[in-house]
Amino acid sequence: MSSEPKKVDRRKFIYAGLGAVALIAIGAAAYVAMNPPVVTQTVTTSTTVPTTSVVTTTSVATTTVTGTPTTVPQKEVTIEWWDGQSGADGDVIQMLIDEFNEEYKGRIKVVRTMQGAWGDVFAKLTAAYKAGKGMPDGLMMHFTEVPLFADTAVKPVDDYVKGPDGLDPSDFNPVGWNASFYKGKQYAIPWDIHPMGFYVNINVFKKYDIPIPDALNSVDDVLALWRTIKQKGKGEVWPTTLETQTIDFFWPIYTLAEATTFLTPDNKAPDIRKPQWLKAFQILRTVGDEKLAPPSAGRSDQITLFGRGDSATMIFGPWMILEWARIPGLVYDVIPMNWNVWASSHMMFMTRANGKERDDATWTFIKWMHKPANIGRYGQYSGMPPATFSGANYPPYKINPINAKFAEQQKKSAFTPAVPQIWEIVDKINFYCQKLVRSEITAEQALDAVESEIKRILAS
Amino acid sequence: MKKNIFVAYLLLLPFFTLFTIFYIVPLILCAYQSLFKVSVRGDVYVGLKNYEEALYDPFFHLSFLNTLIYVGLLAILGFIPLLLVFLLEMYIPYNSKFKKVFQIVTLAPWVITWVSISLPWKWFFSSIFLHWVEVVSSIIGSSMTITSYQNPLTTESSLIVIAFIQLWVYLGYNILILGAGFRSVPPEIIEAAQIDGASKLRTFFSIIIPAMMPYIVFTTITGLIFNFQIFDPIWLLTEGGPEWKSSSIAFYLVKQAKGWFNYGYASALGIIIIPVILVISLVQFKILYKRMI
Amino acid sequence: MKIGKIIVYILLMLITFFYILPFYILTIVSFNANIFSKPPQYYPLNPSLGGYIYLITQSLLLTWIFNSFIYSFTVTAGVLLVSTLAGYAFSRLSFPGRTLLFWLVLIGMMTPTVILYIPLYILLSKLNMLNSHAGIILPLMVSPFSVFLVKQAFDSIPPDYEEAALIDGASTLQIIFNILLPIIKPTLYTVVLFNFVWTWNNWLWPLFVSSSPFLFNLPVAVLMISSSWTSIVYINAAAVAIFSMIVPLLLYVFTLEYFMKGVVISGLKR
Repeated sequence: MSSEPKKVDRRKFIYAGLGAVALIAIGAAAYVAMNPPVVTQTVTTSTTVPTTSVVTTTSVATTTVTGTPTTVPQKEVTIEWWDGQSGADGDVIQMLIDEFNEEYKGRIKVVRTMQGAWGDVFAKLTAAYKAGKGMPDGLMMHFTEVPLFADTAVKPVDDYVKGPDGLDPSDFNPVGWNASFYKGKQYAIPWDIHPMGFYVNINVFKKYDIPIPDALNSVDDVLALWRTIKQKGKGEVWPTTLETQTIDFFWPIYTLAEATTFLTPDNKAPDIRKPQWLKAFQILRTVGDEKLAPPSAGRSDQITLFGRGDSATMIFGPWMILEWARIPGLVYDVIPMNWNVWASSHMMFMTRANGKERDDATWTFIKWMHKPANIGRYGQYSGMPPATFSGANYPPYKINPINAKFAEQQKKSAFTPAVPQIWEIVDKINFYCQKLVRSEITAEQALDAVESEIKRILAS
Repeated sequence: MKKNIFVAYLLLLPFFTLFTIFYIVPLILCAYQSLFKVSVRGDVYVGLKNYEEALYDPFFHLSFLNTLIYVGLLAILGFIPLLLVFLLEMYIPYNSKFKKVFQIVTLAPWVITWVSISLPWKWFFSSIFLHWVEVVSSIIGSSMTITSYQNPLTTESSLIVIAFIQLWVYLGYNILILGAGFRSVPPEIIEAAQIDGASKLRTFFSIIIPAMMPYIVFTTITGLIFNFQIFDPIWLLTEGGPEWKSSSIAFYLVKQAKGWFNYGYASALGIIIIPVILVISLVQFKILYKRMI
Repeated sequence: MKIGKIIVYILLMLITFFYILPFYILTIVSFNANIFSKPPQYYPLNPSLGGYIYLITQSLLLTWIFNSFIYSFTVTAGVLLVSTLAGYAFSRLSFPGRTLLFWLVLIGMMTPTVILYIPLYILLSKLNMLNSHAGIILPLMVSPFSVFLVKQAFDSIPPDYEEAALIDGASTLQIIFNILLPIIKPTLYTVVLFNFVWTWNNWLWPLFVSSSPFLFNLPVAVLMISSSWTSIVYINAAAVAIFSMIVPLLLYVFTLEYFMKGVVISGLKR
């Protein structure tokens, strides 16, 4: 018993010690919290400045482009870059950034933060903007964020675009270029435009002797094709699959509605009573009635079923190229859809109030990324079609016939309306479409319901 | 006496300081925020409009109903750990290695993050499960072809699948506690009953369960509290399930905030939900747990 | 009787199988088994260490591990200290407001934590504590459940236990730490393990609070790697997931004994 108290004391001291450590850690953390991690500029003077160097970062906005920096000292500008790109396209972005940092060593350094889901990017940008600190210098978002953040968190880029080190608007696909403007000013530079594509599993078509169309000329053709597959497939194969759970479902739906906007031009009220939308909903209902697609399939189910030849077609995006490449024995093709399909676009933004030097550095980065070889390689490795024609024509990208098909489809695509409430609206449309593919409501009922949902969301 | 009171408050100070800062104050802020429509362009005061909207929000109602179903279903399925304890303790010898292995294996998912443990389940239902269904149905010779298969996580019964996964994660934890409860019953009582000729089942129901009641109460109450908050498997596996049929209130709230950026509305939902859950929990607590303070 | 026993064994083995299965799946996928093929591979036909190489080459891996430890240790230490003091006060001392304050504890215990995250997020943004370690750690130190457990444990000790020490003139802290704590050791194990594991595995809160991967813990890292909407590299996701499990599983295996002792729920015997 006499040894017991000592043991206890020791343990008590350990606890107390831990507690003290904890308190110290808290104190230190709190101190750090008052100065949250912010990318600090490293100021280094470079001693070897080639006098024939290309335009330095600090002289972008001046009208005289001199090769010799005069009284401006060389210091490395560090800029912070956010995006939400994971997977393969994230890896390519990282690769390009590493290259940029190598090429601009001592002058500009880009520090990238992948924020996770895109929703996190927007939430964190908003929080940083409201707190007045913690914003990155630039970031990748989508066209949908242009109206959301214009003139608040992000700044107009017109001066840079039109400046001496600018970009050529005619090189950009107008679909993307136009969507980067808000109230007359431009807030982002399009990076890629990824439309839906119509994938077909060639092995399945051959097995059941189904003719592969050269092109689909209307959504009626799509329905006809699905019915043909159902009939010739003897019930052994699904004509198609629809990912009926998440936002991914919306993209094929919007495609079936010929990418027709569901809002009035001023984006303030619903305008969905259009023949294209009625037809799209009717097709979904038909899919449910005639069992043209599994009523319930998650995305990995879609991939599994298509990859194994249990489903014949799939409407999905260019990023699937990488997915399909991993499935041995899969032979597939992309059939052009000769109407406007759903597309979205990643775009590069610059945030406000970082000071001219960092803005210049960010612009240099954005411009460098848009060089045909760089943006082209992004397309080549990620499958995402570049937003510039010069990028899309980059031979290693273009030489892949599937890439070429997506680049073509990109010309026949349209974006959804860009309103802040787009995510909620889309989720609600999804909800009623899920009911359609389960044959629970009619197309007219779906139209009614969606219209009143949009009205409610926009009004609140 | 005075010294006692002073000491008491001093001892309570650390906890209640943290509690005030990180529980009370956020709740007040939440209530305040619920009166606004929050956006990056500046918050707009809307008064009680968010609450009005919540009252008529069918997705909120559905999520709430689903949560009640989750809690109820899991409470009923609470007999499973009890049954397993019965089987383990009554049929398997005390020192059995198998028992130890069983305990270790069933408790493992509980110590692992939901993110990691949801991955194999997600993949399983899309791959191996699918294959077994095909194989079994072809053996049976049923008319079920590939075109009949549906990933259970994406069907309307996704709620049940989620409930079972939740059960699966917490099973080991419940067995642990109930097992300890079983072992707390004096063996003489059990022996006496068995000498009197009572069957295993009878002994269990009439003697052991009443004796381990405090443990059963504990697992029921903590189960209730955990299951009301059910969130992770839904977010990670079904994203609310088809047509919101597996959505819970915690899920809906986070979806509103993180998915649709309606922070004001989400705050209002929180302010509505918290008292409701508290009342339900406290009522259950009071019924089951007689001595509270 | 024998048949009954056999059936029981079979049932239990079936259940054990469904507990091993997910871990097995994760392991084989991490070594490049393709479970999505037809038929699925039940073991890797082309084993590859690519997933683990990907894991090791993550530049922030050490940061994530470090963060996981820091969060768990500090939160657990903080909770332990704070709950012990509060639990003692509630259990052994009488003071005005005791009932009310304990009701607050109960209410705190029953509030869904997820629902609290949004108001906490708003609070932290106002305090400028977003994107900081403190912002992640401090709110997690509020554990009414631990206070509840400790109080219950103290309740089971007869009220006059420390009388001898009191007469000898021992201070309150001495009483708590030298005399009473050793008795409720099992409950303390429960508090420590519960908080450590829960904080280690908490992925939603660090995700909410941090806007830089420097603050991520392992579960958040797993989430990032496993949830791409473009293409998921299963082998990488599986390898990282397996890695994230190692510490909790090891800890768990070594402390299982303590854990099982800790389940002697004192105070509920009435």
